[in-house]
Amino acid sequence: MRDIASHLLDLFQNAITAKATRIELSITENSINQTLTIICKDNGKGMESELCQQADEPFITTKGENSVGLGLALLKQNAEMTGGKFDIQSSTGKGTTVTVQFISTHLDCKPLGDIAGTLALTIGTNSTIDFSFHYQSNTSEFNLTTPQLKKALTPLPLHHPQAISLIKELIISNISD
Amino acid sequence: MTISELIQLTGFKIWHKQDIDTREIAGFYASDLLSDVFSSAQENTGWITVQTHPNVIAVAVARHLSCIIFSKGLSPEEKTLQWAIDKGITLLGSDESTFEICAKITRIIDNAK
Repeated sequence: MRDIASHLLDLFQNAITAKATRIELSITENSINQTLTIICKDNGKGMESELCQQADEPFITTKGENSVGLGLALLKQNAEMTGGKFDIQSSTGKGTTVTVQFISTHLDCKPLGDIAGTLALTIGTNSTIDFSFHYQSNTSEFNLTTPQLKKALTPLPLHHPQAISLIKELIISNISD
Repeated sequence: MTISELIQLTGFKIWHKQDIDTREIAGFYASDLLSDVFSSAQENTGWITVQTHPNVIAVAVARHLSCIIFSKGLSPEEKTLQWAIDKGITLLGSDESTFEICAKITRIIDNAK
């Protein structure tokens, strides 16, 4: 987890494992408050509140006994290391929402990494999941959804290498300042 | 070498000990990025780090590390120590920097050859 993109990949993996059919990702860069806020919301099977409250504990995992789940634990640690915060809300049958805030100017804040590549690959290889991506900064705003992409890229299927690289380029050109 | 032998040769402080006379240390790894240790450290490694967050215990358990050595005189957080006791992970410490600890251990390994 040397960058924020690898945390996103982990959050998507959690949602896919939870059989989500819809994943909403929002990234907000606020250069005035110096915060980077990520919200990942899925409609997967969710968790009971007792499990949810402990979901960021590494020895609490659905992978079975004597197992360790570090994904959310490391995300929380990396956010708090910058002075940021972490929150997870879940409801059985309805889905899970992870909200994480980094103080982007803190020396220990992880770099963003390849957000565009991570998103493009995840959207392209999970075409049955409805992704929605919202990006907001002080100067720009960008929205992207799976149905929108399917329509725009026809006849190319989303998982086609050319489609994935087009999605990646589209994201890069809209989120870099 | 065993963890006991390492302690004898270095004088490392003991925060928590578990099976130190029998537990072997097959090699050492120095890193402060937990995911890096998770993906690169081999079984029975002695891990040198400035990270004292409880998550280090989860990494040590998952990768079957031999012990954790905190550098720069850092003490484990309360929860870290509690988890080390619960999960049976030996925690050691030294006032020296990670670099100095690595140099010291390298000298010990070279002298043993």
